[in-house]
Amino acid sequence: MSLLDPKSAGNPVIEVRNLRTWFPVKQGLWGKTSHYIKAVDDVSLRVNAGEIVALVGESGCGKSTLGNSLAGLLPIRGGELFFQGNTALKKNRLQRSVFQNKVQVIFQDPYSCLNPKHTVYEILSFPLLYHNICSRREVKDTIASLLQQVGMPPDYMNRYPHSFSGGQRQRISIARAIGMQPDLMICDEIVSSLDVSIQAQIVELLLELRKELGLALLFIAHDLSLVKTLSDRLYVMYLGKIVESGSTKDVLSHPCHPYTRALIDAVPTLNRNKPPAILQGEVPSFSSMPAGCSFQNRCINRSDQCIKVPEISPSSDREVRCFHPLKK
Amino acid sequence: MEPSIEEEKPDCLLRVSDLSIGIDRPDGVLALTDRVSFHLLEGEILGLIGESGCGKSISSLAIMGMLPEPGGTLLTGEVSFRDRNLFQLDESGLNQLRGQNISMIFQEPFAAMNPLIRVGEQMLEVFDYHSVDFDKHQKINDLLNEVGLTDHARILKSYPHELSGGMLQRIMIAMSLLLDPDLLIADEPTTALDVTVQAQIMNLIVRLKRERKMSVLLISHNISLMAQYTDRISVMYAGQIVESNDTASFLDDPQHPYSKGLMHAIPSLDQREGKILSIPGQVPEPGKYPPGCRFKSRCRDATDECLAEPPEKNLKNHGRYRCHY
Repeated sequence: MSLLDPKSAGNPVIEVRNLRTWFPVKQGLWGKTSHYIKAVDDVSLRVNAGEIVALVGESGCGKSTLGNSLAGLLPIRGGELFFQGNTALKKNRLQRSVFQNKVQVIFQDPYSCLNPKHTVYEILSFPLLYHNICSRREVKDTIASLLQQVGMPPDYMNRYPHSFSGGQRQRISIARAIGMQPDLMICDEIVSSLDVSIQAQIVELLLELRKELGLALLFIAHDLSLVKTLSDRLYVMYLGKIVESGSTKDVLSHPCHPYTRALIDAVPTLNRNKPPAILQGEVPSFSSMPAGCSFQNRCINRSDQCIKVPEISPSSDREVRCFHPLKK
Repeated sequence: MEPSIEEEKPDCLLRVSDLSIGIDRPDGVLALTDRVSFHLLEGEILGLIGESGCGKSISSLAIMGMLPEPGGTLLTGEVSFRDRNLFQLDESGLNQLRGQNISMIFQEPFAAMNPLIRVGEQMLEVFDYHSVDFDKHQKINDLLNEVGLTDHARILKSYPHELSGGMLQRIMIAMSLLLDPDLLIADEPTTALDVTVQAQIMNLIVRLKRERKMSVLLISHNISLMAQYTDRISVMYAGQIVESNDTASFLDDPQHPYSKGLMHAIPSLDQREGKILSIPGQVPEPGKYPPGCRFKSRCRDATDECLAEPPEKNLKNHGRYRCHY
């Protein structure tokens, strides 16, 4: 953190307000839109410079959709998006000129995100040359230093992806991303397909890069214990909406939303006296969402009030979307 | 290698002794596992931990009599189920055992289901090969409830691609329990699932263990999951079992440096201190195992002595580990 410019530290790199990513469901002979799948609905989120922000939730809650929307990979339906203070959405279209290549995404599956027909040299050089990050003469040295930065020997650049393990491939993806000198990296479940000891290596690498380059990270994950060791702030998502946010330490030690509490209680721990608790009920599907609070059918604190949609309680550092937040 | 004290236990359901499996390569047989031994009592959950490629899945396939074809070879050892040597059974004997007595949950539900047949028909297919005396449809509905699936009519009418990975995994689990097996081999059963669903399914497995004395071989790389649900743990590294002990003692005091490394590598919600330590280096590939201790290149305490084959040491409580120190 010490390498960060003190002025830029704490300023939001990316900020979204009331972001909506809706997918139309078309029916009938003429393909008329009958309703929308609200995969991301009314989401406000902020990632500050040099900060690691985690986004957690069960599979299918819309966290990857949100990540892809922020990277400009999915059409946004509404809301506001600011990149380093400049508005990056005009008429719901992402302004590439504001973004340039300052936002990079690393994907979950290390096998499908590297072209098997290209050597590591080719994989890393294309984006460097396309975006004029370095000249043709320097490209080899740049790649060598990128590989070193992610803990790989430079002579690996002549190999093809198939000769690498999942962890090594993920390192190559990270090298490709940091080559663009991004301000924000969106990491979509990047360690969930790796073994534990390799997971820890990648996490260490990310922390090191954050320190060296002053990167901001949006870390999308479903593993709460991993998020705890890694992130500064945390957003909990349920069915397309952020239900709770705050500093990771606060949220995990004193969850306010019943859903966060249930998520934490379901994680197995090494302590045999504390068995995981079961969250009852099925996740409603996006096409048949209950009116009002989307968590009401599984909630322990449910009341008649919950048939209305709860608003995010405005507070400086802690936000909860619930009528009956748990006491600290 | 098993101590004699365990040989005499009468309720031993499965015994794997000195199992070495190799695979044929143009340049000779490549050994994937090296004299793997473990046993499973009735109504017990044994956890097998190890990184990918360490040989845990191939060992479990061998128990089902399903060595990869072509090329899978049994080098040494035997697997006995209720004192019957599985490798001496013919195909029809094996078929009777599989499903009825031993059942398996596979890791990848999309690969394990037939994409052209509706889920309901695939579940019913089980009964074409095994006769049962209960109501088949009732049983299917009960189990789907138990794994937390509602809307059965729609699910049973769907093709696999119409369901999510988590749903299919739960259907696989229900399917593996249709015939009330005595032994369930669960290869990373909940890795693809969310923690909330994972808790639900593990509770079902533990309940079946308690009510019906079902034994479970749980294969996973998640130590926290093991800590919560297993009775005993065996740790596998590079084709060998490096440590086995009952779960409580293992968690209290892991002996092998690799087990210790694994314990430090997992992030935990409990810990105050947020730091996790990685194990440096990579698992050696089969065929490239170094002589002597296979973990020495990644071990913080390795010495010259580790060039020799490490001895197997017994702990006071029947636990064993394989290390010079």
